Parts: sequence; structure tokens; C-alpha cells
Amino acid sequence: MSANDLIRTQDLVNNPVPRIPVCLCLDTSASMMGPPIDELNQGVQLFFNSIREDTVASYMAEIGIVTFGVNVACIADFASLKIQPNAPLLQAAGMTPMGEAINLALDLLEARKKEYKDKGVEYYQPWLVLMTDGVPNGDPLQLARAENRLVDLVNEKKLTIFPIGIGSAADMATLEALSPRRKPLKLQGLKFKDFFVWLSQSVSQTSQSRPGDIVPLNSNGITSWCEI
Amino acid sequence: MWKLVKCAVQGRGHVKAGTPCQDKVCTYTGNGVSVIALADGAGSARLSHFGAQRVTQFVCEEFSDHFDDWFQEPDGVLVKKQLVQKILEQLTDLRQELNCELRDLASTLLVVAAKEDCFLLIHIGDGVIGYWRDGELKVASHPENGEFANITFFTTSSNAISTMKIAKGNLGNIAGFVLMSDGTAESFYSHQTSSLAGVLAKIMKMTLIFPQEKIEKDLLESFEQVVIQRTHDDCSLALMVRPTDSFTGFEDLSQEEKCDVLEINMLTPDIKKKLARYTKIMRMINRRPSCTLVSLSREIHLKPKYTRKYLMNVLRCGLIQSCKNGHYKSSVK
Repeated sequence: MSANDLIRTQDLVNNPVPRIPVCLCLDTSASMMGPPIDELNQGVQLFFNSIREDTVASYMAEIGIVTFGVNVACIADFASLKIQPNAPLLQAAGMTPMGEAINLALDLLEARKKEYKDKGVEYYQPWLVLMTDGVPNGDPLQLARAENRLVDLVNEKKLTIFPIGIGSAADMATLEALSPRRKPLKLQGLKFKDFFVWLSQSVSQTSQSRPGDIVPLNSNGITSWCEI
Repeated sequence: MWKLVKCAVQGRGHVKAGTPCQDKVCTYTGNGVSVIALADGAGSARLSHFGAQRVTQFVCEEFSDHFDDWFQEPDGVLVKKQLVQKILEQLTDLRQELNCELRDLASTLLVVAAKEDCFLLIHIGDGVIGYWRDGELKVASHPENGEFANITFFTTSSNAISTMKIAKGNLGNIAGFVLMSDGTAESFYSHQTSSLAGVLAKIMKMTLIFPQEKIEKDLLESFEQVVIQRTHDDCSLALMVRPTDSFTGFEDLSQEEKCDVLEINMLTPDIKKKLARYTKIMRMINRRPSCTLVSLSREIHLKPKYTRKYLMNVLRCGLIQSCKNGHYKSSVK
């Protein structure tokens, strides 16, 4: 028996790659109209492009997008970029029902995790990126429920949240209440691209990590363009 | 009685990053005890390869020297506490030698020890422990990852005791155990069905047929060419196997497996008759201290000049070895 005959490629099991669910929860209210929504669209597109260019991350990252404006909607359900290669176009209009949007994002994350478990797919701690330029004005009960859920998940180390305020009108106090471990960052001007470059690099880093690895998801890499 | 083999290969991610292979394996036989141990050093711990090495060596010696004490202790919690305490003592000594933090030496740990008809099993963290009984592969201990893929538990974790799994029992028909790190599990353990790849049974059979050196060499080559291509992580494996009624050696292989082992084509004319002769030769050689060409020729009712061809082939394949005065004996005795 030659060494080549001991273990052949066809003898091995085919495990699906572990997934990194990333949910972008984005404010598309009327106040985002004009340059902010254009910059945000370019930033999200850049995020998709950067992940796609990384062979490992493109298989592992699953991006979902929830927007809040005229209504609260999931405009892209969790899927890898092999299935969902292009970012959807965001349009600004309406109010800021942030609580409702966060609850929808968390429901979708829970549903996706259940699918992973049912199918024996390993997954990493989910990420939630929350971006807003204003004050939440949806149902206060929904916002309170969202806050409770986020705080519990973050404290139980079941979710990583990146709260980002856009412009001077962003309600940083509410963002801070939603994120017990990570201080919200205020985007400097409209530098969405820099943030999404950093985010895609963090996804790439996480996709190559092994059990026991610590992937630093601190804001050091992005403080140069954020106001804290 | 037990045959023990091991293998550890640096992962592609570690080659790229210039970090050493953090998977360590140790096998040991002494005092009538056979032990296999495997530890996967934590990726985040800079000296975890030293910790993994120390802890595998320690448990092999500990279970070899004190198997009965550990086996006879009825209180499982006490076993866990005492074992973690002894491991931490070892790592504390090493920490002083290396002038580092305890967490720098973190690793997972998988161990199986067997003495007479008894076995012990220890598992902290990820990786898989499997066993082979009545021709079937089963999982004895699944990976312990918590909820997320990049989280696991280590020898130095505060919850090492609560996440440690221990088992003991009678071997019965168990013919083999296998330990694998999470990197290897990507190729041999299905997360979807929580089951093991059948090729592990083949490796166990081959371990009983071929010399340890050949199996370890072939394993290393196979890991380098096939297994590490499936992951960025280090890959390692340790196994122990013994002959039982369900598999004693060459004669219990299927026809296809015999052809693989003998490197002959299944479509060769009169293949059944030829394999039957090979089987008789191997049976005779395995059951006697040594045989000659003439005695083997009589056994298979074939002239010596034709018997020689069969003999030369099993010799070439490494199944037997030649001794002085024209005698031949099994390679695995």
C-alpha cells in the first residue's frame, strides 16, 4: 500500500465552512437624503466588494441588511456573497423607527442561527452594525424592548454591536444605552468608506481565526476618522 | 497488545504566520498501560506549543503510573478536580521556566488510557475522540465549542473542570480509539451528522497490518498532501488499536482492501484464487514465529518457484520481513 492510498481526498467528510453573520441595520430616513445616502450606498458597496475579494471571507461572511425609514424592512436576507454578490440600493425617506428595525434584525439573526444549528453549520458570534443620523421616533416600547434584548445579548457575549452615529444630530445617548460594552462612534463627516474598509478587514481577520484566537475588534483602527 | 501511532502537521495558517505547530501528540506504553494523548495549543497563547507538549507528556506518565488509582476513584468530580490541579501544577512549573503567564500555555486535551480490560477517557475543549467496535466507528466525545466556532475551552480556563468530560469502562469489543484535533476533525468528523469518516477504520486496520514506522510515515504524507489542505489549522491524530475477534489482521480484510494493501489490480485474472493464497501465506506467517519458502509452498500447494513470487510481493509491500537462514516473519510482531 502506498502512502497515497492511505487517505484519499474522497475519503474525507465535506463540512460546510463556518459562517460569520453580519447584520447592517441602517437608517434610511428622510434626513439621510442627498450626500449621506449616496456615501452610505458607496460604503456598503465597498464592503461587499472587499469581502468578495477575500476568498475565505467571501464564503464565510453572510450579510443581511435591515433598513428603517418609510418602513422597517429586510432588504437583503443573510446569504454569502456567492449567492448575493451585489449590495442593494438604499433610498432615503420617512422617519426613524430604530427600535422596530433592531428587533427585526435580532429576529432575523436568531432565525439564521437556528438554521445553522439545524444544518450542523458552525458559526461565529454575530455582528450588528447600527447606523443612524437622528433620534429614534418609532414606538418607544419597541425601542425599550430592543435595548433590553441588545444589552442581554452583548452581556452574554452572544452578539457584537457596532453603534455608529452620523452627523451632529445623531442621538449618541440612545446609541450608548444600546451598547453596554462598546462606546458608540460618531462618524467624522461622511467617511462611510473608511468604516466599511475596516469592517471588511475585521471580517477577514475573524474568518481566519481558530478556536482560542482573539480577534481584536476594538476601535483603534478607526478612531482616526471617528469622533468619540 | 495495543499498537499506538501518532501524527502532527503544522497548518497552512501557521506556516504563513511563522508560528510553530501547536498541536502535540504523545503515545506511551508502560506498566501494562497504553496511553494516547493530544493537545491543541491555543492560537491566542504565544507559548501554547510548550504547554501542549508538557501536558501530553504529563498525562501519559500519570496514567501509566497511576491508572488504577484514577480508574477506581468513584467520584468523577474529584477526578476532574485532581487532574486539573495536577495539570496546573505542571504548567505552573513550566510558566516559571519560560517566564510567562499561565494563559500563554493554554491548550485543549484529549486522552485515552487502557489497561487490561479497562479504559479511561478525558476531554477538555474541541477535537474529537472516537472508538472502533465490532467494525463500527463511533464518537465517544464530541467537540466542546460553546455556541460559536472560534470559542473553546482550555486546560487553563476557569471552567476547565465544568467543561471537562471524563469516561471510564470495560473495553469489551472495543478494538481502537482515535483522538483528533479540530483541524483534523474538519476532514474526519461531520458536523452535520456528528459522525466519523470511514477512512479512520481503514487506518486502524492498516495499523494492525503494517509496522508502526510505515503507518506513521504514510500518515504524515497523507496529512501533508490531503488533510491540511482542508483547513488553515494544525492537524494531528493519535490512535491505539488492538486485534479483536472482529478484526485480527490481513485475513479479515475485504478483497478490495487486500488488493490495495498488496498493490495489485482487482481485475487481475484469477484474483480470488491469488488472494486466497496470499491469505494463507499471511495467516501462516502471523501464527508461527517464522516460516520458510518450502513450508509456505506446502501450505498453499504451489511449487516453490511460484510461491516465491507471492512471498516477494508481501515482502515488497512491507507485510513481512526476511530473517536469517531463509526464514520470514510478520512485520508487526
